[in-house]
Parts: sequence; C-alpha cells; structure tokens
Amino acid sequence: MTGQTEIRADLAEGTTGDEVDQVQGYLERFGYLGPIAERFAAFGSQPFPLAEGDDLADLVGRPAGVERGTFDSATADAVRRFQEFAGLSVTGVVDGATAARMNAPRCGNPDAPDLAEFSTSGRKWATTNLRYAIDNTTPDLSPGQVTTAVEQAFALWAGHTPLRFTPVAMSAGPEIVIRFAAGDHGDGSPFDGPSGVLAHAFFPSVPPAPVTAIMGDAHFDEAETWTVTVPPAAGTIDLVTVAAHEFGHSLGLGHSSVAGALMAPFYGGPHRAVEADDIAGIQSLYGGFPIAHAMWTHGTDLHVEVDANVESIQRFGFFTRVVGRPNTTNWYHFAVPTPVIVDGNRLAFARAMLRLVTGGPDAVVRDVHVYDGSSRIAAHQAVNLSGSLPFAVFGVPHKPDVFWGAGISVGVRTGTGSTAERRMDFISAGIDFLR
Amino acid sequence: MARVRVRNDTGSRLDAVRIHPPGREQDPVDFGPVEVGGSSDYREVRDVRRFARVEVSGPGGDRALQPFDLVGEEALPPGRYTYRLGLAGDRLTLDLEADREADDAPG
Ligand SMILES: [Zn+2]
Ligand SMILES: [Zn+2]
Repeated sequence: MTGQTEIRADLAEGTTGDEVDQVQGYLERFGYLGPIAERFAAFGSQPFPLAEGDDLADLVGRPAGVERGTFDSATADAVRRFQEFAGLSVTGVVDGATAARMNAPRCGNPDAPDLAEFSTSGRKWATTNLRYAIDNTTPDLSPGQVTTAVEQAFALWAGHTPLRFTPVAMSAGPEIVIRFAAGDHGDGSPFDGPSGVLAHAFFPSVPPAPVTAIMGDAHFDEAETWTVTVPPAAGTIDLVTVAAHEFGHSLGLGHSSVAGALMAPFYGGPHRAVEADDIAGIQSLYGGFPIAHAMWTHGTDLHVEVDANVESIQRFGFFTRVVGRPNTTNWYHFAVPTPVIVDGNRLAFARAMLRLVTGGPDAVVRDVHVYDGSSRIAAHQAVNLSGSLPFAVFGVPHKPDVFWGAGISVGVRTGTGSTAERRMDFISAGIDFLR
Repeated sequence: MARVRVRNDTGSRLDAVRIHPPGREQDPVDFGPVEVGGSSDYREVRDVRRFARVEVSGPGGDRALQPFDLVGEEALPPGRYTYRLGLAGDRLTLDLEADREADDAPG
C-alpha cells in the first residue's frame, strides 16, 4: 500500500500531467514499466510501433523509456500488461475499473507477470556441449527436412543459453537421441496411435548414469502425420514445434502454466518460438551466456534481393522503410561487420538479432537465415513474425567458429493490404559472439 | 482405478465431450452432453493425469485440446476427479481438480 494520492480514471494515450506521472510511478513500482519492462523488451514482447515520419531520435529508448508525465504508447503498453495480469479488459486506457484496481491496497512486490510459471525436473546436463543424433526419420518428411526441423528446434534454446548442439553419429554416444517410433518401442511408454500424445522425451541424465542411456532422448509418435509446412494441412502436426517442446524436456524443463509458453502442455499448431516464461525457465537451469562481442549494423545497410518486388524504398536516418509489391516474396540481406579474431582468439557465433516493424499481417517475416560467409549456420523457417519486433532473437544451434563474416537474410511475404500494411521498417541487425 | 467427470465452465452447452485417457490400453471415454455450469456423471478410468486429449462439440463446432505429451505428469492416486473445461478467448482450457468427499454425489 503506497499511501499516495488516488489514481484518477479516464487517462488515455495523449494525456499529460501529474496524474499520468502517478500512473507511470505505479506501473514502474509493480514491474510493468522500467527495468522489468526492459527485460520484456529484450524478450521481444513489447511493441514499439513506428508512425509515419518517425525518425531515429524518436526510436532511441523507445522500447524501455517513457517520458514521465506523458501517456505515450509505452505507457499504454504497460497499462495493457497490467490489465492482462489483473484480468481486466485490455484497453490500454486507465478506465474506472483499472484505476480502482490500481488504488486497491496491495503489497509492494512487483507482479513480474508470467515470469515464474515454468517448472523444472530438477535435473540438468553437466555439460553445455550437447551432442545429438537422429536415429531414424519419418516417411512423412525427407531426411533433410527432419534434420532442418531438429536444428531449428535446438536453435530456439541455443539463442538464450550457453548450450551448443552438435550432430554426431549414433556410435559417438550422444546425449540426445531423436527417434520416430510407433506403439510399443521398448522404453515402457508405448505410443497410443494418432492423437492421444504426440511425442515424449526423457529428462537429462545425471552422473553417474552413462550419457548413452535413454535420458535426454526425444521420441516422436510415428502414428502422427508430421509436417514442416506452415500452415499445416488438416490433421498434420508441426515437427519443429513439437521437437522444440520435447527438447525443453530433454534439457530439464517440465510443463509451464503460462498458456502461451512453448512449454505449456497443449499443442495448438505451429509455435516456433520460445516465450519469456520459457526463457526464464531454461535460464534458471543453465543461465545466459557471456557475450564476448556484439556487432550491429543499421537498417540503412539493407540489401534487396529482388528489386522488381519492391514498390518503394526509403531511408530515414538509420532505418530503411520498404513497401513490398502485393502478393510477392523477397529476401532482404544484412552483412554484419564481423570480428573474426579478437586478441588472438577466434570467436564463435551465438545468435542473430533483428529490430524491425512491419505494417501487420500483410508484411510477414517468413524465414530468417544466418550465414558465415556463404555457409548457412541457422535456418529459422516459417516463423511468421509481423508487427513490432523490438528484439527478435534467432539462435544458432551449433555455435560454430567464425571464419568469413556474418550475414542475416530475412525472407518476407507481402500480402494485398494497403501501402501502410505492406511496409517493413528495418531498424538494425546484429550478432552476438562467444569467445 | 479412478473416477472422473467433466464440468462445463465454457459458458455454452456442450453436445458431446470425449476424453482420451493416457496409454494404449484405455479407450476414449464419452461424457455425453454437459449443460452450462453442470457436470457429467463419473466414469471409471484406469489412470488419470493432469492432462488428456479432449474433444468437445458445441455451438461453435468441434474443438480439441491436444497434449504434446505427459512428460513429468505422474499418474494420480485413486479417487474422484473433475476435469474442468473452460474458455480463454476462443481457446479451450482444461484443469483437473481432485474432488473432496462432500463433492462426491454422483453427477
Ligand atoms: Zn519412447
Ligand atoms: Zn511436454
């Protein structure tokens, strides 16, 4: 309970004054704005829409900062998060119900919405260099498609931890073995035919158990029809999503009570991303990773692959606004300046990052590929991101040494909407490196 | 053995509810229509876990909740349980509650 003046109702975006300052103070105190909000921005969940004519000056600090006393879009976002957490209708406006809730007596701990809902098995790997083998594949997909799906699933966890996932032969005794099997397959947990459960995985092995044991392994029910096509045909199951969820178990995570988390218990179609709760969970086991070096390039360094598919391209300060022609796809490339060797040490790739805003579902980032020279080292396929992406992370599963220089390629699908709906603002592209 | 029923907190009448208990040996269990706010009769199942595949038919058509897996989900001790079906937005939700003795009056 704060003992301050009551928060007044009917405050909305555009309002200024002390009442707004008071709401901002409340939101900050309980974790909806400020340092915790910055953490959310780092997880990529906080919007920072660019309006027509926004320039770089307006972008600086936008995800984290608010102007005290001004009800700006960041404040409205924080109000929405508060309303969501409080179970109020999510309007971004401080209406009567919202003000009443803010004025209600309460303890002073930040709510930290959704940050502690993951669960863990209490087991984790003793090493961060995990080896995996694909023991068999499914007739539903080509072996190459299975390999790519598995890499993409591992990359989601690699992007937020020190973990590095390397494919090896079965004979090498990998920690994680991937198998497709139907019915009884010798581990005491027979599969149940189509639907029922889709897969299962085993929590990590703890010494002295040999790493070749079943611990860490992920099994997929061959009775399901697996796909990597998004959207999936009716009755087919997205292998990337299910593999990413199962690998969460292989790494030691249990189920999350956050409905939108990858580690929530129910499959709801393609979900090729880890959410804030998943990241908090996996970092509770393995921590983050020490970034030895980070390099960014501005959105103005964008290279367009197919000029004919661009309706207009404009550079504002340090970002580039592209409007794609209706019903086209295109690739946009960034060459990120790359420190290959620093202080006599060769660096390794950890992850790629993008900051961009699209006009909405008519300008969709379909694929993000990461390159070292001309070798593709990560492929995030059919991620289908649109709207505001203040900090989108694309992990590199094997975290290979750097040889030739980093490249990030962004595949975009443009729909048939208005010019504003088909626009993409490319702000920055970056790479984090490990020593 | 455990006894399980379904409670309908979705706000709409459900014309049919079917739950797939875990494992290959157990057949899906049909709970029939369940009124708004009402509960079905108890049905006997061999093994109950927090999650199961659920299929419902209602005014909005057919919906299903598909678990990825039951990793880390222990079989619950014998007793009476209620799967509570709800809606969050247009998404079906499922919670399992252990029933106290006082709640044990049949459906
Ligand atoms: Zn198995
Ligand atoms: Zn699971």
